[in-house]
Amino acid sequence: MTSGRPLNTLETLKTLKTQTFLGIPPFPIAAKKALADSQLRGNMHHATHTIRTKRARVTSELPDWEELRVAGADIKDDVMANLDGYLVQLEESLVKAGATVHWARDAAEANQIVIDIARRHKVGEVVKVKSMATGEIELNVAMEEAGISVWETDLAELIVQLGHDLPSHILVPAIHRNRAEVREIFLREMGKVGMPAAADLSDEPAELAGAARRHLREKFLRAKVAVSGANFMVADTGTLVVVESEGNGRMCLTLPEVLISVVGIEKIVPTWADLEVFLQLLPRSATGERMNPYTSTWTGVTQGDGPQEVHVVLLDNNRTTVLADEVGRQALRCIRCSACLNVCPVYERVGGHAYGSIYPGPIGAILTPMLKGVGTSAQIDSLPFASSLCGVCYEVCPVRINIPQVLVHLREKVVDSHRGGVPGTLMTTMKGASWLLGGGWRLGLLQKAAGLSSRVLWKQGVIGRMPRPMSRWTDARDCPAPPRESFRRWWARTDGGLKNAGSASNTPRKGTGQK
Amino acid sequence: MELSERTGSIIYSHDWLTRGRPPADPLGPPSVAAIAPTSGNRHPAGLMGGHLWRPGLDLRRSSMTFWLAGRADEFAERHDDSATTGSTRHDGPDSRGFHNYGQLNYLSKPHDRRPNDPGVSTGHYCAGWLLVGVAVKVALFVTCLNDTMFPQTGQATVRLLRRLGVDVEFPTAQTCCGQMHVNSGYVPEAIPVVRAFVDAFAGYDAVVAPSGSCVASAREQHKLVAARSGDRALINAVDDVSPHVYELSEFLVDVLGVVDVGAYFPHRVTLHPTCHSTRLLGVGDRPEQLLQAVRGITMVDLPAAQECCGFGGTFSLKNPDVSVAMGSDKARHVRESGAEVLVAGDNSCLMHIGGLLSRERAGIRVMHLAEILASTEEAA
Repeated sequence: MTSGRPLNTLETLKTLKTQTFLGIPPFPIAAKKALADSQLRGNMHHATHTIRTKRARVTSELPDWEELRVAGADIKDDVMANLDGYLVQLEESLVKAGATVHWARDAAEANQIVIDIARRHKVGEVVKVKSMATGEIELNVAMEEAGISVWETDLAELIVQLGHDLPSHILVPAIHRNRAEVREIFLREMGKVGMPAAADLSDEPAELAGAARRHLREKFLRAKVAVSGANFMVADTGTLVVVESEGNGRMCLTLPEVLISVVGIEKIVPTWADLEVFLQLLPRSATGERMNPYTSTWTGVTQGDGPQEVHVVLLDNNRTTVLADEVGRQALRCIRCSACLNVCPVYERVGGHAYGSIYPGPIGAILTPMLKGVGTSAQIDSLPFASSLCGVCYEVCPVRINIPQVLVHLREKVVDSHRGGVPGTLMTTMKGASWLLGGGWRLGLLQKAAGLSSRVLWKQGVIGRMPRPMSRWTDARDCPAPPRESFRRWWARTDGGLKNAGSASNTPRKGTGQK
Repeated sequence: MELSERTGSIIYSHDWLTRGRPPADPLGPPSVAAIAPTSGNRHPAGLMGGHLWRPGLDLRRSSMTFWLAGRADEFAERHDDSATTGSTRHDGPDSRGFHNYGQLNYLSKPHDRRPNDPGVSTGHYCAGWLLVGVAVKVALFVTCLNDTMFPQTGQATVRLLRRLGVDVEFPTAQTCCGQMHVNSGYVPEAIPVVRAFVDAFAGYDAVVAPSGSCVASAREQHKLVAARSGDRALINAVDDVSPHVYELSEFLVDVLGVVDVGAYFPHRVTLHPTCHSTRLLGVGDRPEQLLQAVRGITMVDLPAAQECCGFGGTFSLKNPDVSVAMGSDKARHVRESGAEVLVAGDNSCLMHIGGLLSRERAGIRVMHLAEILASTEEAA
């Protein structure tokens, strides 16, 4: 059942306060723009290197870190293998504990469920705990369209929301902003939606946090309904877990009368004891802390304590499609720690917006195409190619998601989805290369032509600037001219250097920095 | 009631869960349920001691990703000793006198070896099969890039191996590992290339290549390509050939058991370790060991050495701006190192970094590891 929410168009979205990723161009184009932003480059370099170093320190101090990673992957694999059983078990546990369980097949259904609950309680606003699932389904946009204000209470999400901006990191959505920019946003925007920041606000982190605290406090105390996600759902007890640093989550989870949690179905862990593994893996991978400051757990309704109406919306939104992909399903192990973002050399340079999704970085490059469908747009199809396949993301992933493997798998799917019809330049090139590399003598032909071109065109041994499409290489890089004699011909002429080695051997390379 | 019906509709709408076990075959990896038993004993990582560990999943084989490599059972048989002891690295020659290192699985790498693991020094295996006097056939896989663009690297590899007593052959039917096709998503187009590879190298005891990236492709990607072809003969041929493919520094240190190759190179040199050599193959500090033993050489540290240079195959053309942004930082680090020569085990990275250094007129040479190791006092 799909709801009646019309497909957003750029025009209708422009009228909203909340931004969406619609209209972001394919990665290479978006990346080019981001690369030119020196402020962004500086902010991103500083932030990612700081977290990266902290993570490396706290993970290397655990002697069993690698075993923990394996355990984390195994538990999640078990959950995925038996998801049907665990989901039913979770639902039973939740209902027994007094929670109401809703099943949402897609974003529209989930949004409608949340809006309906809010409307039933006749509220015009809700407070929100930072949550990736609600970002994925663009709940804020839907709520705003329904006339309900959504107040983000996580500091970074608040910065993004007040700045009419988009998140650029899973854990630190405002990673692309520095504190001077944050101060400016607070001064300009806070007064429009609530308690204004003090006019003499400085850009000291403590002062900025103080301004956010005062601004949010009145919203916490006023709100009747809170919306959250969850880091984990324990199937055998029906417990939901939120892991956070600021305490805003604790406020939202305890003060309002009604709590609605939208959680992806892959967030299940089988037993309470499994949390032992993940509560070690997550904070160390995410913020580089041994333990995060606030870990909140709640099991349904507790009489006279906390929210007296607890809803859990179990969200599919194509997760089962991902599950059906034998290679890609490992992405469902993801615990949203962002370790892959913080170490990624591509992400570090372009930031999160270029990925055009709530899930940026390496994990976004595999998760977004799988959740939204390969072949559905040029932007999505560009994501699996937004990686040099250096493998550092796999090295740090706390649940051992082999991101490079999935990237290559998705590239295959992208290419396959465009087969048929008139082959493009790249397809023709690849088919040609396939023929040339199908036999030694064919490659020899190519090399002869290349050697000849060197004699005629590139007598200096270096290929400088060239027109398109070679300009993609030569705009910034020299290219060595092909040698006059390939290795193959040298071997044939000299019997592998045993006879008459001649002058062609050991010629210095040119065009690669060698003078 | 209604709620359970909804669960059912979500989960069972995907028939892979209800169909039961697909065939355990490289053509179709087994389902999750097939390898993930659910009850068990305690897991070794539990600090609080309360956690359930699932049995039958030893640390190497547990990963779901491992299926992609196919034939988990065959792999376990081959590595029975290491699998049962939990040792992830089987150092030492097998029954044929071959070092097992070449069969290690990329997919299990990050667990097998920590990022900063300097690698296991294997000098004492130098007995090897060469000294035992077993007749072995060694082939050079020069790689298409070296063949076409950098013949001096292939020539240096041949000189070096001959100097160490290896009678290396060059099967002229060879072309390419097919990595460009696979990593760009053109897997069917890679089938003829992989076929040419196994045809050229069938029957050799060792295939040595001066490229970490191409060796990683031969070991890990060829089986994917073969599986996609659906050709049983190709699948078997890949199984036979790919475990015998060695990167040059692996072959020197692990198989030949040499670290000092008798080279002389009186220059200031810095090493770019390359992502595929370190993270896919796990060559550790082998190139470093080999370089340290070169007479006259001065090794200097490369800042942020482990960071990717940004080449990434067709990434350098599909995302040229990001590629160059990454490469510029690498080139800057090379300049900061104070080296006059940048060395690496892959000419693809060097073509990219060297191209940037050349455009900057930085006056820093790039050289393949083989070229430095092949240099001698006589030649200098």
